Amino acid sequence: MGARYNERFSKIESILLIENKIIDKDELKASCSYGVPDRLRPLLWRLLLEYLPTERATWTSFLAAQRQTYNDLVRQMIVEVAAQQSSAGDPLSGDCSHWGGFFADNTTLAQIDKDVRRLCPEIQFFQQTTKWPHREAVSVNLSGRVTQAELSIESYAVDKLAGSTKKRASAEYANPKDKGSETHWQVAERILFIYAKLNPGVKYVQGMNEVLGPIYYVLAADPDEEWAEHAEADAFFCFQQLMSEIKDNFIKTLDDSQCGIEQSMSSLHSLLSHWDPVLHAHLVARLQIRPQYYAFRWLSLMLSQEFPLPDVIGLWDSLFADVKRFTLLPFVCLAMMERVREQLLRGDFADCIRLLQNYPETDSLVLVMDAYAIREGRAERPSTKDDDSSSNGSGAKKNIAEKITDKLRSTISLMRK
Amino acid sequence: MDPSGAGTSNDEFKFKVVLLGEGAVGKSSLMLRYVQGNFNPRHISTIQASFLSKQLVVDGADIDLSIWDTAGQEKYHALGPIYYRGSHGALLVYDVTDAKSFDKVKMWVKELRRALGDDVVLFIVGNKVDLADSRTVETEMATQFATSVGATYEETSAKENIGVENLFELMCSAMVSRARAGPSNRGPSPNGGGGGTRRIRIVDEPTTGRKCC
Repeated sequence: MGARYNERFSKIESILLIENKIIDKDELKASCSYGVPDRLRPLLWRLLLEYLPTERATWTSFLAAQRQTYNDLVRQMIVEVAAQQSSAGDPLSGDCSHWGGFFADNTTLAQIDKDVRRLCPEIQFFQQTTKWPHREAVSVNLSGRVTQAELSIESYAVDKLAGSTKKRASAEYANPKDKGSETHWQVAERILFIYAKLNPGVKYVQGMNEVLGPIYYVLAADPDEEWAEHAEADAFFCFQQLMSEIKDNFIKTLDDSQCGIEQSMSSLHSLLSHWDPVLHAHLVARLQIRPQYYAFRWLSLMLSQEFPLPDVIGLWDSLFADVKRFTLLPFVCLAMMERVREQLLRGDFADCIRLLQNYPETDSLVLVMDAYAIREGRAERPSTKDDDSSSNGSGAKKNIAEKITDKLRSTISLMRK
Repeated sequence: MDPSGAGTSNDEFKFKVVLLGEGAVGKSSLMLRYVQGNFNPRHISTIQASFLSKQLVVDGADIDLSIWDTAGQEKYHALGPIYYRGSHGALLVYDVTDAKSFDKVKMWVKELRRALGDDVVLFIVGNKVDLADSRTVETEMATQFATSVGATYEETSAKENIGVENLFELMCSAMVSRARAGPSNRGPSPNGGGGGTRRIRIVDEPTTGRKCC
């Protein structure tokens, strides 16, 4: 496999060669579908997420403009607001017309703050200080606003709760002491806050932190410092691009509309029932397992909570490279279930839920290969107990797989409207 | 469970318990402390709901306990019914240093009473009592509220392992007596304000021995 690996990687490199004035996006996606070389990933994700244009000559000016835009947003929404507040004095006295918005923002911020502090806890990265703190915003301690907010809101609504409004000790997570520095989680917090401000219809929903996490990590850990320096702004735009495709997962959680997460979950189960009726019958009919018990998180966060970060990143190479984004994802989920099929078939309700919620560590490339094999009709179908016709040959298998694929494609295209 | 009662003939119960409450009040930490016996100050935020199970013996009953730990954020609130449906008990958790999280508990009480009726055993849990200096919700007020809605109030610290084991055992004890009292104790519930005051015994002697032998 090493040879094919090298072949794929040199193909990617050849597409990115400087003399190619315009990067062929389709070709690029096709050659990235089984993963990308580490050192090219930061650039490739910017391209695959369609943040960076394919016309190479425009990159310099495009990036400069985008980064400027981001900095303007930070100035407007964070730096200037902070300056206003500190000059306005006490919110509880006098004119408080402009405080309403400030407090509303703080509610969002409090939510973000709780989550970014516990982002990717298995690695130290987000707790470390960044080499490139935001020049203007570093002096504004955004997370510091949260404690202040709680204080103000509580005393604002001195309600039936008899309780003192003592300041809350953030014992577990200390902010960096040094004034001119900030940690990576604080950068992530700023990105999510700006996103929430710009997208009032979505705001911030738990889980978005898990979507931003890998993107920001990939861009900020870029060994090429010229790029890493702008990780914050670029990660913001990459995140925004990705969110524009998956935000339905976060805003339409519960209505039974034809799009959003409910639809993705039910199409996963229908895919399972077509591909592996035996497993489907076991899980759904016998054990009464609903997709909400495990697949909600799989699908809404694109598996980012299921695997260690390096595997998530490997998996996302393929998901981002998917020409019809994100139709590969349910097939990866299906491949995951097939890999533990025997255990699932032997398990009771508790065994199965535990297994699906704590999926064993697996090479992401293996899952991607399985997923493509199923989608493209190359995979062998799982055995069906009472089905002797499985000796019909690969032609029949292929037809079935194609049928499923078509069915899924149509549901997904419906879903994406 | 599988080998049905060779030897001692304990009652067997399967109970489902759900943890509900505001984000970051420590629901996952309570569950992990109880089931796995550890504490991680940096637990990832819960999306969807996590499942764990545990077997234990309380009041002469073998209990197969399923615990569902839910996501805290308001946006996920509407998913609640999927996870709490069919629950025998609910732990409504708040953070004693965060008065807003107590308001959320009040809301859950209303919703659960409406959806599950009086049969569900409700416990209100003030977590993070180790942060005594930052406390904003007082025990007395929380106890009063719990009593007024027929719930039991307990305090815990998942971090310092205070009251966690006790909490789950009290809960199981209450569910056992509820179940033994019969499935159809509708109407004014006989044990009124939440029951569960009976202490747990380490089972040696079958206390009631009502299931023949």
